[in-house]
Amino acid sequence: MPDIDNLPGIWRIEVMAPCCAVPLIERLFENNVLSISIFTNQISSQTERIISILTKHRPNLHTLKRQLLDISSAAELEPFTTRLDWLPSENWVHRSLTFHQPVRINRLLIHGTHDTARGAPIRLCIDAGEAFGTGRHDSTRGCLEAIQQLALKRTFLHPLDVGTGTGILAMTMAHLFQRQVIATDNDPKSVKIARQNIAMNGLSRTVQVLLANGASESVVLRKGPYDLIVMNLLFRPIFSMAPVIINRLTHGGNLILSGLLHSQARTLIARYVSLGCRLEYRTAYSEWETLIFRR
Amino acid sequence: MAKKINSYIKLQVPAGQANPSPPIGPALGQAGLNIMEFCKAFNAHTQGGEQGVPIPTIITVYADRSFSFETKSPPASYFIKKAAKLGKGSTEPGRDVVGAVTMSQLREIADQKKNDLNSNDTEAATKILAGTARSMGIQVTGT
Repeated sequence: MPDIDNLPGIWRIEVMAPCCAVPLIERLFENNVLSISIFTNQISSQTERIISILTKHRPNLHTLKRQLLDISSAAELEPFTTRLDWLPSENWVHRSLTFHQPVRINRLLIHGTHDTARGAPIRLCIDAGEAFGTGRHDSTRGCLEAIQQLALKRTFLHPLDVGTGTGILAMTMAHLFQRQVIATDNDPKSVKIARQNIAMNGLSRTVQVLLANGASESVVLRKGPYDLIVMNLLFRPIFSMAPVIINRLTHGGNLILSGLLHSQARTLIARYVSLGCRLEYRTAYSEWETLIFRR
Repeated sequence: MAKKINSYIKLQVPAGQANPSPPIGPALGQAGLNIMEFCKAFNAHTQGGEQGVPIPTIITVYADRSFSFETKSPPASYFIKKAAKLGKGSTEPGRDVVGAVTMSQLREIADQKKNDLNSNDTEAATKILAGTARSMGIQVTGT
């Protein structure tokens, strides 16, 4: 048997505990380990967390279990489930990239710079980085499908993407409509990343990214009105921006709203309908809804 | 855009020198985060400071595997060892004294770390740091 302590690798302690116990467990480890990661336990419940601790040296499991039992007893909780395993050294970059396989959504294929993707009419190269929008989230998927659906029925001359993130929606519209697309974001980092992605995909001439807070700024007003507005944000900004957004939309123009949960959709539909929009259809993936309106 | 959080990762990363070796590789790899994108962003963010200084970092991983991170000032133990001109603390704190720092040095450290310490003023922060120094086997001298 090889002596595992002398092989290149790392020890991982996993503790399954309720979220209220996480700070106590973190405090137990924080000065003695390489890293502490906290994951939501997708299998058991939304309130349980998996605390994954990486350490160079083999921990004493007996002492560790006793310390964790002290924490759970003091907090009047059930004893935590604990697991210790050895992670042999491996190519972690390669391993992490297995999570970043190309994503196909109808005619569109999204892939990272590590992939040479083929076999789709539209290809976008986007690395998962500091801006949102890699095509892997259901709200982005809903938007990308809706844009492609609308493109089958009509063409748009002047589209706007509010909260562009990586620029994924704006680039898709640029490909489909072959027109100048305006994209905005209020985060300077996202604006920088979107511009890099747009340049990498050869779309700098067709997509213009502006640093702007929503659609209320004069620069967005000057470039409008728009016959298609796409917003993959969160419920609150979508709700509060409704009058300004509708004001920027041409009569007969389409509006795609995403980033909302099922429970929020009805309120938002009522809001946009009261301001003169008609719900054309809606789609859902897991808990996320996408709403398609027409003014 | 909509951001659903999948996980948080807390670790210390040397300023300007993030690379895929442990702890970054395994910690980020198990969360499915793009390691090279993080290393690139972190090194760019910390390139202005002293290279190699351990930076406590909290990474938030979102549902679509994009991420954000925040950095804090280096840990108190790093500043204390630096002030005492030591490579590491005592292996037997309480028994073995391996060096010394002055209260005025600790006050300077408290000023640098005041945003991250749980105290309202420099004096209280200095007392916390004095406790940390003693727990590392480093004597505190002066007033």
